[in-house]
Amino acid sequence: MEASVKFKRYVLSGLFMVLTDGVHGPALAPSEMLLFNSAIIAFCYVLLCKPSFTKKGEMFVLSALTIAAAASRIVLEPLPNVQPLTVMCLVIGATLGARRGMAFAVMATLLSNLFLSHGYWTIFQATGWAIIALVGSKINLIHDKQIVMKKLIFSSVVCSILFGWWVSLSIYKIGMSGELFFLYILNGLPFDFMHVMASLVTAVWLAPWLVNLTSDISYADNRETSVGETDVIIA
Amino acid sequence: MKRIASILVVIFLFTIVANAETSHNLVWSKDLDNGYISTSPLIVEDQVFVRTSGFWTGDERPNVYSFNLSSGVENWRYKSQTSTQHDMSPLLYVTAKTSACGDWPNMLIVGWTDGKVTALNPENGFLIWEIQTEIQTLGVTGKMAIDDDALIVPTRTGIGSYCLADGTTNFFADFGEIGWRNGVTVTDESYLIGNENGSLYDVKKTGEFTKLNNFNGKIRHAPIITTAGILIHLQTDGGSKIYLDDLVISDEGSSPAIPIINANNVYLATSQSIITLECESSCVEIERKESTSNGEISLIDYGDKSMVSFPINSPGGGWLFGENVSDSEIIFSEFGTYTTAGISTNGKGVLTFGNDNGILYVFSDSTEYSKQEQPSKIYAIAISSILSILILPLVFKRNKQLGFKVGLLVSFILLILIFPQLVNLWSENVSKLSPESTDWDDDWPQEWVGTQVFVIELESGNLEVGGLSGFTSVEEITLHVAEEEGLIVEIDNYDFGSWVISFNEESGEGWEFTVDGKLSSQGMTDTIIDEDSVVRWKPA
Repeated sequence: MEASVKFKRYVLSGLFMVLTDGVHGPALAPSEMLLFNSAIIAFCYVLLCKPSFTKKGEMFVLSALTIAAAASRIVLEPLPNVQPLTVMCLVIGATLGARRGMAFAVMATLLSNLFLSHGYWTIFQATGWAIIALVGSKINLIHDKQIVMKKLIFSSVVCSILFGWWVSLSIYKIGMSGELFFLYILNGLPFDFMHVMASLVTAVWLAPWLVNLTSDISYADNRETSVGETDVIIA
Repeated sequence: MKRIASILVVIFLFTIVANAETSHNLVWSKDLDNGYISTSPLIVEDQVFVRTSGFWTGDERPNVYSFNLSSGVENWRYKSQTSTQHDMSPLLYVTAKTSACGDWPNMLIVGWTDGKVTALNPENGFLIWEIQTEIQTLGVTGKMAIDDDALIVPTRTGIGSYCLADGTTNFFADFGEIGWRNGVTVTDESYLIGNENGSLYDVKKTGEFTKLNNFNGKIRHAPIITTAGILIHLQTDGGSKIYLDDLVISDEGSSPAIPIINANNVYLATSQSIITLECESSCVEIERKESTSNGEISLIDYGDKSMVSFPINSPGGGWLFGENVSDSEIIFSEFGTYTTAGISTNGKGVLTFGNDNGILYVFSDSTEYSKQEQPSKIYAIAISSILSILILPLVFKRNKQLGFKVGLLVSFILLILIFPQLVNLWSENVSKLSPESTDWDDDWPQEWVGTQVFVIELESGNLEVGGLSGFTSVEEITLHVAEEEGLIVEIDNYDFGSWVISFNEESGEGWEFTVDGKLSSQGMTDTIIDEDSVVRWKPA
């Protein structure tokens, strides 16, 4: 089980019987699970790399970024709820667009959870980070190839908190009272705060570098897209 | 900036002073990091031997250590790759000898809960020989003994005799009954041993055995031979009884300690009191004192006096120490926590002891031994303070943006460091918001009212232990009961506390606990219990 989930389970071990019920999902054999994960990862990889399949350099950067994002979760697993992936999703969404950002988020989640362990929470994590990437693509975080830091910091804080609450839904079970769920959320606030702090550090230290790294891909793709759109307009 | 630097310097100096005060009379101490020290260390010449026990995490294993007595430098450690549970069979040192079954050098004999018995070279920790005894969930947990050229081992289901030269089996007697911490006593003609069924056996030196008694309880110590008869401190449901041969001579409290005899005096203890019996033609109580001692009572030559010590198994810890029970005083409580291991001495004013936090101490009032600080904590604080003082002012002065980034990073690191405490503090307050409830079974004895009660809902039925006291957290009472009842507990340790994986290899979907029927918002390490709390573990 992933440490941050286990950490929360630990802190709340006596609070809810739901903690294990919450991780009961449809049971798959290990081989079926591997096949299922592989299919999703392959599909997302296509979405991430398209239309860069002819550019080996860009594919390498995108692959390396995804692996680095997954690795960051694994390496930082001992630290409670330190999730650089949140800011990475915002930035990748902003630079590469919604499709690629969401594919990146899902791939990074699935790859890292191969090591951190899968569970019902994986669905919430993957969708949560995918939504964050979508948000990143819509709020104009990049201006003139530069990150708009104030906007990134604000969105990082909001997304980190909302992401924690979204993933907390994975422990909800039918019959659980609203009061108990509220206590669970209340208990998790220090973890949310930790997530916020980690996102702030990632934003100020890593985000500018990440923008530089992906801007070439971003602008190359934008040029291709622009040509297409121009053609349409002319037509 | 100067103001901040001044505050950091003051904190730094205060830390040094505070650490220096606690080292008074301490020669050295070692945090062994893994598990309890549940059995007395041994001092042999310039070495201290100690073993760790009682940790159940996936990768960690118990160790036997050798430290230099004066410097605390680790000479060697022997790690068992297969033993994981309740390794509390006392270490046994054997001096070199030539005998009919062969020759052997000086050896440190170690019994393990995986059933192995290993003979180690005390100079380097190398294995000399090893034997495998039978396992029924656990292996060797009791005190072994030496009988001329034979090592007498209380195994899980019986008793074995092995040649000290090479571990060759002389005989093995299987009672078909489970033993736990059941030490063996050597007499001129035979060996005496009890077990969890309350059976007391007399085993001839050729291996034939007869059952002397069948008590209604558990025998968890080596039987005591007195001039008045065989003395047994029997653990019963909710209490204990002292037997002299077939007769009950006293009803006592719960969780009896391992008794010891010195001349005609027999020292005993329970969770309620410590007692001295004088045994000549009969055994008569001559001293009694209220205290809580459940572990190894030890005799110590200190100066020119013979002292007795009782480990105090309560949060304050320490040892009752004195020439007799009534005049004994608590010592070393400043190093204390729950304690069951006895004190050991070299007879020259040096004492060594360990506690349930896995910290080994060597104490001396002799100037022969230099006092040493444990430097790591002080160095860490010193280095981080100096770096903060030197670097931060420079950064802020030249580049405010970089200063913000560095400040954020430093704050983040500090947050990580204090996070476990922050979470616990927060959770404590949040837990007050959860609904009140109670947990009491009317079938439980009335004596359990007002005491701490512990319940585990196992597949084989509930394990219920009451009449406990002095435990302050769910973790403490859980590990105590596990140790007392021989429960196998698998635990993962994290920075934020411990996490139960399984009880008696029942893992299921995990385990959760309630305190007084109320679900806790904290983990077992930090959930505080009262003197009348009911702690219940159940499958999640």
